[in-house]
Amino acid sequence: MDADELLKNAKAVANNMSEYQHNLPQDTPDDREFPEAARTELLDECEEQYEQLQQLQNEITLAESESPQNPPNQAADRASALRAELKEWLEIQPNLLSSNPEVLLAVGKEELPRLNKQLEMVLSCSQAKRDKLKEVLKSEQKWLEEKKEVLKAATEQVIVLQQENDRLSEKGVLEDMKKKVQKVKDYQDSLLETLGDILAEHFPLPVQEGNANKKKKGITTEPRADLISLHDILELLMNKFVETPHEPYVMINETFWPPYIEMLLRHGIASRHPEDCFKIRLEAFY
Amino acid sequence: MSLKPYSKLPELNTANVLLVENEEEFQKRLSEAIVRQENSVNVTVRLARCLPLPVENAEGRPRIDLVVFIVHLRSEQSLLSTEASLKHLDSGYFLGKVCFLVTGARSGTVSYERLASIKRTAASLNCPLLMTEDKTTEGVHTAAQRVLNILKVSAGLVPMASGLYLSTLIRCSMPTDSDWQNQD
Amino acid sequence: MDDSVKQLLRQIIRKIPSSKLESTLTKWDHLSKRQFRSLDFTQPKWLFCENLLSLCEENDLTVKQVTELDMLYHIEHPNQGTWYACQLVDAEEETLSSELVHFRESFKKHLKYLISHIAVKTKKNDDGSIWIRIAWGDNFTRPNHLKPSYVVHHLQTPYVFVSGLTAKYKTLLHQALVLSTRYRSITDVHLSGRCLSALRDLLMRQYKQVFPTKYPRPLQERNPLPSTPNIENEHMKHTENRLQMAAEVFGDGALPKLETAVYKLETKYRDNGNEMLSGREEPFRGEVRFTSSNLLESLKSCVSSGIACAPVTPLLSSITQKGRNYFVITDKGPGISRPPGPKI
Repeated sequence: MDADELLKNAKAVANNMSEYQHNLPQDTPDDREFPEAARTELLDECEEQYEQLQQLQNEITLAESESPQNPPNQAADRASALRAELKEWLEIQPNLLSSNPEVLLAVGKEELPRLNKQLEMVLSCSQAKRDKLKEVLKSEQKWLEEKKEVLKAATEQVIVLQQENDRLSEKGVLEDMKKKVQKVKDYQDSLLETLGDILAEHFPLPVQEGNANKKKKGITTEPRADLISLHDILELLMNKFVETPHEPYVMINETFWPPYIEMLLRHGIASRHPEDCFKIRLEAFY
Repeated sequence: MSLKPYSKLPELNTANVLLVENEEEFQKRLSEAIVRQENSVNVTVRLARCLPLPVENAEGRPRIDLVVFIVHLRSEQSLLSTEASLKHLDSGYFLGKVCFLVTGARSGTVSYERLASIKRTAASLNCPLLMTEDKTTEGVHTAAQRVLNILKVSAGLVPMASGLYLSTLIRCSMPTDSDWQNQD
Repeated sequence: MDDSVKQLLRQIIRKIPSSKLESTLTKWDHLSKRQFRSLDFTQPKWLFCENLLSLCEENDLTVKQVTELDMLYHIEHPNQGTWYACQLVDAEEETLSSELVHFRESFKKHLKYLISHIAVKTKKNDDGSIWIRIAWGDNFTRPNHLKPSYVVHHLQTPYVFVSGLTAKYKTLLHQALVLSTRYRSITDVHLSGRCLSALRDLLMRQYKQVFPTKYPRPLQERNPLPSTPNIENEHMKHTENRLQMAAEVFGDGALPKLETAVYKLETKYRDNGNEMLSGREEPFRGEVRFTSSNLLESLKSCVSSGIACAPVTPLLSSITQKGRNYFVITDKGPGISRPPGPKI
């Protein structure tokens, strides 16, 4: 017999013993009501079990004396014992203790209150556990809430700080500048546009009058076809002034309508070059 | 001759426990508490100082269902004597019929090394290790209750449970370094 | 009463603790009843001393009477200082007992013959022993009453106990004792301790001895408490054996109170590990000393509780067997190299 069988037998002995305990009629007052037949039947069964027990015991002693005492390997022993027990549990069939109804009734009567008590204990235990878990849940939730609030406050703070940071950082300054530049450019554009509009409205190019006028006046200087508008003159002047401040003079040519030039000179917007009367420049306004 | 777990027949409705303690002092109170507490099962307690047990008692001795080793952490001798006794116990006992009882684990004066070493022994043998308090009556009472619970399972008096299963369930785990750090 | 006597009385009173003063003075009996009643024992000691001094002056007491007070106190409370036991050997005649008067006179005579400047006082005690108080002096000084030696001799036995003796006068005292008690010599028993009664009990085997029995039952006899039938001790027999053994070696009940046991080693070093020390020819001199407030009790409990393994080593059991506590161990065996003690 190898260790496996031996251990299986051992487990069987233990099991049988536990069964045995139940089989034995206890000294309950119900005993007196027991009919003789049932009692003898029980005793017979007990005898049978006892014989089986004895047999198993003999087998065990035999096995122990036969097998050589190999050095006890704890882990292997334990593993095989567990396996043997598992096998036993898988194979075991729930069977009635005895077929006698009185016996079963007595055993049942005894067993049920015990079971009842145990289940009550289990119930109260699990209830207590559940209450405890509920409490734990509540406290955890509270904790979570608090943490969330903290997180929110923290993120807000972070945003504020970031903004602050942006505002003061280089990039921010650069951005600021760009915006300002952009604004100023826009303003400039709008101003130029308005200027153009005003000029176009109030200082148009002299239109060519029809041939009918030519006959009326003797000397009519016909405007040249390629006259540039006041807007363009001003633009020329401004550009020359801004691009080449050391050489702000613009040559007057025939494309400039003389009355406009005169107007500019008279109002001080432009001035002639002191030596050359054909050069004008934009007057400084600042 | 080492003690063997299945060399004798079990008796009806009986459980036998062997308490092994080097100082022979706590076991007396514990045994009285055990015997006092249990009414439904017939419990016999045998007291010993160390193993191996004297041979002359071998016939009169019933089958031992549970061997409890009592170790007092305050004395090194207790630990050494227990470890020496372990060698004389048959290996069949370590499959759920051995339990360790340790007293004085709360004391600050005891070095952690002793507790760690007994824990290691118990863990390597896959046996449960109970901490007890042996100075107060309540402590003794509690210890007796716990020993009784384990005893009933090892003796096969609890249906559906076996000593092997219980010991696997409540066996001692190997002490880790973190235990020691928590101690500090 | 001259000054030295007064001074002596003062010193003596100072030495006696206040609680014992009354009883000692009652025994002293050198004050009249009226005087005794007039003493107030609740006064502080120095005041009481002065009162007593004045009363003694009234009675004009001598040195002898004053020293009697000291002796009375010592007889009542002998456990001060260390007592050494000696034994007289080789009786000259069959009759070992010395008659009291004869012994007293002959001792005084012999001692005075050996050294003249001494003061000797003897007193017979109720338990059959005689107490001798000796104050030593020499050619230049008066006998020193502040450092007396006390000698206790039990007349029916060969034992003598000595306390407060310096080496200078030891031989003289021994000689005087030998001469006055008709023995041939006196030896040192190597037994010493603070408690006189303990030494006496040990030497004369007056403690409760236990003899080996076939069925020792010390546990059951002592604790007859009903242990339940369900509890059984595997090692019951071993425990009982141990207790029995301990009691056999050391005795039962209240053991004589010894303070030390000294073992002087003159053996060769015998440890295998230490090469430097072992293998030498000269003996390794060492001393093992056991000290305790009650040595025998502690040794006994070591054995009975199983801490020390039984059987008890003969080195320890010879304390009680031989009645000594100073041993010298040589390589020839754990015997005693000095002349062997008396075979009891």
